[in-house]
Amino acid sequence: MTTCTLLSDRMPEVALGRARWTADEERHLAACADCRAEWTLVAAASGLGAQLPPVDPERTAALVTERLRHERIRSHIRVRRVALLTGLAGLAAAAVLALAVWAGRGGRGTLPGGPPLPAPVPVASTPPPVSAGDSQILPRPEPRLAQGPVSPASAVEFPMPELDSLPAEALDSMLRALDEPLAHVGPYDLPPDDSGDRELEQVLAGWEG
Amino acid sequence: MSAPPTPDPPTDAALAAAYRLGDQRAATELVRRHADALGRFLYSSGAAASDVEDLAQETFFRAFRGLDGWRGAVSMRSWLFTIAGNLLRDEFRKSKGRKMLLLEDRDVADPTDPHGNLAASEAEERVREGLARLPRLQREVFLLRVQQGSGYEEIAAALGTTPGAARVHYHHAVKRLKELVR
Repeated sequence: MTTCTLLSDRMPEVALGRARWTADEERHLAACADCRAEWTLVAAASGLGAQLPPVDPERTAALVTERLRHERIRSHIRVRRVALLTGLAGLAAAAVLALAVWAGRGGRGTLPGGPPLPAPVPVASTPPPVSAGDSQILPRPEPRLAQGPVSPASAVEFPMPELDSLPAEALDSMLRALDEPLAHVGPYDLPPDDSGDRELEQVLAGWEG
Repeated sequence: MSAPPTPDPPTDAALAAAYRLGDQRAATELVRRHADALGRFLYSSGAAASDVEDLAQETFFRAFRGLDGWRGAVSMRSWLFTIAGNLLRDEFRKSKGRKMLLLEDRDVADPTDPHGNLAASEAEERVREGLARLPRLQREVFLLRVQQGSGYEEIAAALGTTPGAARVHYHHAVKRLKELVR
């Protein structure tokens, strides 16, 4: 290793005050323009920003931990919201399926939770073919629009116990939360005060009963 | 009578573990230990002096959020610098490639403010401008070496390179800075 390389390796330590130049090194620095230029550079770079105002550790740590708390709440709400939307989508799919089954049975039954359907309009039996000379004109069959009477045995139920058990306020909160667009929730868009936080916590509390 | 021995201060790893268990004071102590060095690193890497505190806060936020990712293979300070370097890169991209260190944004000495504590010497300012023009890896290796005194092994571990490559980056940085600052 040359003296220049040795000096170059020691420069950061000396610049940070962890070591001192020896007499030989100082003589080399005085004689070698290249090492002197490097030493000026390293000394200046090691002191960069030393005059910046100090960061307040208590304030910074408090702000950081508060932001992390906000993020955890938002993340929790996002997960719960997705779970709820998935559940509602499942219920909707089940409802569609049940309606399809109900329609496939000829539509005899009641709509879930609804009043009994009106009594059927009597449908005339198919009249005998009318003779018109040699040809027979068959009457066009009437469409069977009217449905039969409601039979309790064929009623389709849609139990939603998870919603039934919630109080009205919780349902309102849930609906309000669902009306909000999902995209506006970002990790860094903190409210100016903690009122948004309280609202989020209320929604959470509402969901959890 | 001799005074009872002062207990050794907790290591960064111990403070990180305490913070994970909910100790807010551990977070404050970690910030106290590293905030100033982090601020100087950010400033030296091209951040405006007025942005340093916000960027430092953002760096700590990312660090505490990903504290499980710090395995202790490198010092916490080097790890924080790596996060800060990534943050500056993100900010640079967000600004659509505009340099963060703008000529009009330099913290040059204000002759009307003799007490201005942000007044930088001309030599330091030229170094800072030169640093802003270096490739990221060269700049970070150089700053970890001259501001932290980190060895090439640690720098390599922090920046995901080899000690030999870190040494080469350092010498390239010195050479280019000499040219830029001359």
